[in-house]
Amino acid sequence: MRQLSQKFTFLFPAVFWLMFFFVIPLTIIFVYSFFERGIYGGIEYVFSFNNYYRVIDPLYLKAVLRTVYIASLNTLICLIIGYPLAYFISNQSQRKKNILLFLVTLPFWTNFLVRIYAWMIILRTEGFLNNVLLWMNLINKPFEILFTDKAVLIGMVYGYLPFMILPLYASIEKLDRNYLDAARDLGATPIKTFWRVIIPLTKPGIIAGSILVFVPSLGAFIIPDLLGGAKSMMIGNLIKDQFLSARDWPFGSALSFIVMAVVLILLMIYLRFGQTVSEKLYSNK
Amino acid sequence: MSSCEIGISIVNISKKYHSTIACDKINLSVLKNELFFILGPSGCGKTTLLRIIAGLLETDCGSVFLNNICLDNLPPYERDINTVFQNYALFPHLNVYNNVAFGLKMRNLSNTDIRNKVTKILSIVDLEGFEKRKPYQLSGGQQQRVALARALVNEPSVLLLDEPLGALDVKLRKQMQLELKHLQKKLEMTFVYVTHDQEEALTMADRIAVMNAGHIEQIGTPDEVYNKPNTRFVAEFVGESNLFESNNLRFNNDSVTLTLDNNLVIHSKITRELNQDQKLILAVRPEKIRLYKEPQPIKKAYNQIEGRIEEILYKGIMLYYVVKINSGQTVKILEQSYNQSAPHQEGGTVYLEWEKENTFIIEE
Repeated sequence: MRQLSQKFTFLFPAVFWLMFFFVIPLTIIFVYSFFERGIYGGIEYVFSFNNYYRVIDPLYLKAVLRTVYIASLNTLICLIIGYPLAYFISNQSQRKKNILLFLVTLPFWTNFLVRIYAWMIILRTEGFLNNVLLWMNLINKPFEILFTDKAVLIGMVYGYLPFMILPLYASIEKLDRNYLDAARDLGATPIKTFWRVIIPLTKPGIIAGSILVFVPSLGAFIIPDLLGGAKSMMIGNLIKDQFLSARDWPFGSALSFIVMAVVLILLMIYLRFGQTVSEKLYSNK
Repeated sequence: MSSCEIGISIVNISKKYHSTIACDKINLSVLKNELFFILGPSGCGKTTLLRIIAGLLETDCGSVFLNNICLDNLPPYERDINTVFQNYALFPHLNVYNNVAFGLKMRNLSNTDIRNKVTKILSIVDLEGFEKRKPYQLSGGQQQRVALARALVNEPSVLLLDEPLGALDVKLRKQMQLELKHLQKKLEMTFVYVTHDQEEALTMADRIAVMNAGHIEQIGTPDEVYNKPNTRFVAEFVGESNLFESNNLRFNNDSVTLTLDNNLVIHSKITRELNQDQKLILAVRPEKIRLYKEPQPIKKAYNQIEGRIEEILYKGIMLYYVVKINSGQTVKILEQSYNQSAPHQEGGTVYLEWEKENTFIIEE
């Protein structure tokens, strides 16, 4: 009995924190999502599903689908860039590994907002990127990239790449190189070794990295706000606007829960589907 | 049985890691269908040599030939060689069936062929019904069999085995030694088997190469390596030996006579050509010596010296004696404990006797 209460003593800060700053606010948001907006921005305590019906409105539905699309694309690009990089880092000497991992996390030392403003300067029509390309004679007139989906993607890949690299590195690092020797010995070319042995054995890192990139991408609002135009609205911006500009808290709450539902559903599909696909790929029986 | 055709030959192979020499100009030939052992202590370069044959490691110089074809520019996945790894390296994400089928799939065989071959090899290694198990659901011995099946199913010209039984307990290891030996004879396949366990090598091998510090000390049948070691290292690493060293050495027609301190004389027959300029050491195995309480009549074919028992160790079927002889050196003797009625006592005087033929000569 004493042991139990001792354990609880140490758990108390975490439990307290989660209760007051996570569970309770979430419950409030959940309850709000079933009420209606008051005339001057308050809450009208009338129960209805209206807020959820409104999401099906093509205007909002489009934003939801765009968000899922951009977040997925971002995850995929981070994976394609991050995997070779994580693989490269894990094959270096211990000293170089530490330096390279330090460099991967280096951007976190600067304020996120400042870094995104820096990207605005780089991507502007008369910005750094266009100037360099013009100077190298690769293009003959500057192209418009800022305030488009491309700029949003560039910013997102930049912002979330470390979250992909770190878990990938952790699982590639753990990969026993004996399996690679065994595969080569059994006649697998480097490419086949990669698909048949390395990828399946580093799957935990791929899944963890993808989740860590995909989930915050869905809720991102600073990057699309600054780098995207009015047309590149994502669901994160929509939610922010409901709470701060439109003062429609119930609808904002409903949108928040839609995002959570999308995350949960996609994760479940991914985990279930990912499991069965690899199992089907590798068994003939 | 092994024919006289050469399966694998290794020509002048050298390999350095930083400043450590793992293989120093190694030459050896393995016959077709031979069960060939590379025996040596850990760190002697035997695993390095095996990895070079498999193609998993590049050499600094030298070549590997398989059936007289040079393998130097072939990557491991194009060599007709498979390996049973020391830690088995079974793919943890694949079940037994797919682990075994891996090599066949890489060769794009049809599913029917793959199924037939895998089923057959699993029955040979006695693992039917385990197809769907994952490696972590198997015991060490079963994992070992899967690793063996995974390599054998490809029907390679040469199978390399890197301490394949090292992780098993003694009883299972002894049983697997025999099974592997029988399997090799049945399949008529060339095996190159690396181990540090001299007993395993002596039990199983057709021929043994004893390796030390990157070079080969001696190549021969188990009988040759055990009874006629050429070097001090082989004499001491393979089994135990009593070495007798002295500068007082005399060559006769067909024998060598060594005189130790206190005029103790030991004779040996010359069975091979010797370089008379080199320092020679005479040696005898502990189990070749008989102990007597009384002096024995002098026989021409025997060495006889007197000593005092310092210590007796009980080893079950054998007794192990440490005897101090008059030259001041101690001699180890293994004798079956048959003399129960009048056992030797510590401190007792004894007479050591062994055939001159059993004294072997080491060149240094």
